[in-house]
Amino acid sequence: MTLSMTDSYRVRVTRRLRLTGSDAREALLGGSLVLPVIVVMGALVFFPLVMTAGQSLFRIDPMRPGTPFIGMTNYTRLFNDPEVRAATANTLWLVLLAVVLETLGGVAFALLLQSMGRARKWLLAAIILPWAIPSVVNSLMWSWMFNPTYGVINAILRGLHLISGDFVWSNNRTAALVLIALVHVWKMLPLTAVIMLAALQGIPAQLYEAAKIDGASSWRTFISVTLPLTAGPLAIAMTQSTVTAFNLFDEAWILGGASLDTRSLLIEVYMTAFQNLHMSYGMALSILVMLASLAVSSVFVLRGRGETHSE
Amino acid sequence: MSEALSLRLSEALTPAKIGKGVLIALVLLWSLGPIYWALNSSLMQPVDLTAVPPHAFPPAPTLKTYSGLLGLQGAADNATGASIWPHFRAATINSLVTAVAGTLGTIVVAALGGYAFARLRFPGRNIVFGLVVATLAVPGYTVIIPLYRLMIKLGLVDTYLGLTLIYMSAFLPLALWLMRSFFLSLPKSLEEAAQIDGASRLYTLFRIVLPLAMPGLIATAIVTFLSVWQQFSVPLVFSPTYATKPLTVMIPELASRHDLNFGLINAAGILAILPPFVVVVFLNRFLVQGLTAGAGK
Amino acid sequence: MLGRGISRKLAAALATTALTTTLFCAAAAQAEEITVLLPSFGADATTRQLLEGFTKESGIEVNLQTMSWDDIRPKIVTSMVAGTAPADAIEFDWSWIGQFGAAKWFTPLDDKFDAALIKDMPTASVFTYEGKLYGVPYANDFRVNSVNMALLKKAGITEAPKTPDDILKDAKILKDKKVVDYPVSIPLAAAEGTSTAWYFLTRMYGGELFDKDWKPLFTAKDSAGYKALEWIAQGLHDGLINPAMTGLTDMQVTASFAGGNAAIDLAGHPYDLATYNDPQKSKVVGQVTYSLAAADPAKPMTIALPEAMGIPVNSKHKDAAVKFIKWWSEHQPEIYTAVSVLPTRTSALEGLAKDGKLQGGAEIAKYSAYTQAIFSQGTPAWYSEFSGAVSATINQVAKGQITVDAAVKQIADRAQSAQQQ
Repeated sequence: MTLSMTDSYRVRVTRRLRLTGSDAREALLGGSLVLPVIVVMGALVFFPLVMTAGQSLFRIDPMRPGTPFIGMTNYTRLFNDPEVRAATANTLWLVLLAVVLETLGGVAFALLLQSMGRARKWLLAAIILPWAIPSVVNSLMWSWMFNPTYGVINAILRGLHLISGDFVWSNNRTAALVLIALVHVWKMLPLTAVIMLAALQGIPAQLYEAAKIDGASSWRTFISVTLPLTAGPLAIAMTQSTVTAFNLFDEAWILGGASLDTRSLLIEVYMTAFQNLHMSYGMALSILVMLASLAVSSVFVLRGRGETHSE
Repeated sequence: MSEALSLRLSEALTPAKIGKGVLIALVLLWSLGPIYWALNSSLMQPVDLTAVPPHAFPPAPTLKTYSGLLGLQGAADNATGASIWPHFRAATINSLVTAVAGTLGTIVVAALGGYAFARLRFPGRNIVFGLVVATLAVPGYTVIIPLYRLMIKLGLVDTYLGLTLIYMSAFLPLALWLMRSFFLSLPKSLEEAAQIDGASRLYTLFRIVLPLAMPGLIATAIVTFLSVWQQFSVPLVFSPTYATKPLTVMIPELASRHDLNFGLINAAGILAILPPFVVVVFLNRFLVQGLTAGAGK
Repeated sequence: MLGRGISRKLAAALATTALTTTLFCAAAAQAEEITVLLPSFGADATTRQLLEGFTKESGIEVNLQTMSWDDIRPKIVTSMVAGTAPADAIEFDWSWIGQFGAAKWFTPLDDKFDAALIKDMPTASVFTYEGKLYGVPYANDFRVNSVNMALLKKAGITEAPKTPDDILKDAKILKDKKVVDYPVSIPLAAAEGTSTAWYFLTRMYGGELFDKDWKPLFTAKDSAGYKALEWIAQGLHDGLINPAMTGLTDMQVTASFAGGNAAIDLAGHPYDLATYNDPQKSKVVGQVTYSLAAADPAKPMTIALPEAMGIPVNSKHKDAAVKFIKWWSEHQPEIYTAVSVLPTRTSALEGLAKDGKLQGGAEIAKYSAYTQAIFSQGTPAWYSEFSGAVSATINQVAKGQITVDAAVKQIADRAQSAQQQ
């Protein structure tokens, strides 16, 4: 019985294979090219992720005996935690500032680079440098520049008579958040610039020539040629900006510490799980952060796809 | 001679070009200003750092922090005069090895996988791709403890192989997504022509598609190299000793609890950006070459 | 072509890695080796040279792993939760004892060390949890006030202030005579050093933070904790404390005090004098002395913030780790001379003071005798949440966002909710 079923299945499969032999070969090749991706991501990301997601449903608190199943309790508690609320508001501001500034700046930098001749190599290298600095060093560097007394920023502002005395950036929530976003943007903007530069170079020159012949202005060309053809990479860059801003830690930690004015969600995760040792509560929060950044990013991705398709 | 020069100048100085020059100057100020300030601080005696207003140039320039880091001068450590140099050298080598291995591993897998996701049809293609890209949003803290447990079991903590694998898992999503998007933007006609000529899919991929996708491949390599280069939280946990500990983890240790030496941190930061600078200038050539190759066909 | 070239290089790189790994393992198998996880003293090479002395004596190799201080606890937590020992002998801060004791992550050490040795370490009691000793103190730390006597003299003051009120009074004179703009410096960032400064001030006013049942003692207006917070608010209000302090951690305050822009550094470290007297780092060489103040000047007090070494329960080299910690305890004076780790043994401190080798001199030995644990009941498991709330709240007070009344209530509420968890 079993045997005959297997047999008939085999017949069906062979028939199908014979019918679409090249499709099967393509699928086989596709599968084997993708296999390393599946192995690496499966073992090192999905497996740990599923473990953590599962554990967030238990009470894992090394200071208390036992790890009872508590269902969604961690998640419901998170929504009523005033510190989590404050950190969420801070993070959303940081994400907004980072995505807007990195996207506008990154596209502008890429256009400028694209328009350059031989010197482009050097300008690109200069633009990329901030990104090579480890974010801890970067944050310390900027904290020194924004030092109210000895910092160069206040010295310049004093020189321009915009402030008198020591303006304390961290004492004003808006200024402190903008400062943290600025330090983050300074470092991350090159990523958007590189992605967009590569995308711009993929646009065939003929399209620009055609636009020129049609008498389109450069703004018009940007809107009708450049933007639609780079919508995909733009969505990638914006997603990357969103995700890294949601994961912002070092800048806020070094410039603002645990201050509720600037505490980011990842700082809250760190403090909860690794300082206060409420492990699964912190892990539940980290999973919510992941879901939130996925939700925001998917807007860009769907938008980007829509643009490419309409073209 | 001078006439020719002035002619060239007047030709050059159109308002558009002046505007562009100003833009370039602003971009350079934004990107290099803070780096100049770090360099400036690193060349000062620590005592000159607390001047009001701050010195725009070091009043008494000193290379002491650098010679300490590079082992040219023994007094970097106190008392016994032991040098930081062996560790600084080991950390630099570790940074380079892991950044190169992580980048190569990532772009090889991403180039092959990206091509498959862009051009080949196989079951589950979109779901797998979507899931992999979605992991961009996974915070490091979410996976670090199970991952640590796994790496301990595999004996891969504090090894280049372990770090390379973790970097691949961290930077594959973006690299894969970029590569797929570059492959999608290439005209299909060339590949189809090659296939009609009887070329195999792999031959087409290596001989026709990859050379065309060179700018994208290089951009992806730059993105990955720099992402690995400045990694901090992964090696903090997975590189406990100088067998694999990179510069990024070593530098904050230089600031002992007893004494916050901004000069030393800045100097180390300056040294840490030199290798990426060289890599970018070098790879950039291929970026341009790839472009011309693509335009020629 | 390109792909093949790359994969060949990758294969070569991976093969090299595998080879080095094998070699490393082979080398490690020869002698017993322990791993030691300590904060970086900013002098790793010297530390390593020192530890060779232990290897010569015992035949045990030491694999020293250093990290910057802030990163050590997450590393310990990650390893322990993952079920492995982060190292065999590990840094153990006074503030972790409640947590790590409750989590049962460390080995009780009572019967492994001589009672006489432990008795020579007055701060050892800080590392007991439910009657068991979990850490052997190796690095002494407490708080002092650093006073720039040269600036005080300019204002006609000849003596370091002896009470908290005197500090503000002297500061007022310094400000009025325009000697410095902001005479008092104190860390006010939302970081641990800020909480510590408040505990220190509370002790200056002669009080405790909690009673035996962990009920907050700092909410009443006449309590020491309340007065301590009011002192900070008053100093800021009168322009005696720089509002920029809200952005500075205790380390940054030290760097800034070395610039000579303040006269009294509240809650400084017992090792700051090394920075202040280094002409390459400081503009106040020879001008600073340590001092203590107290509302009752007859009873000077300071708080103990010692660091210990502990052995995790899942260490596989516990005996060797014990030998290592013993060796360190016996060599505290040499270690102090080489890498400035302030001894925890009274005998070691006295010996160094007698030989004139103690930075800051006899004062340091004297003050270390005035140290008291921050919590006489023992550091609670919820300390971390409490201290996070303290520093964030003081930071809010300093920024003028909430009043002292609201602040003490907020801290008390947070302490109570942390206890219930």
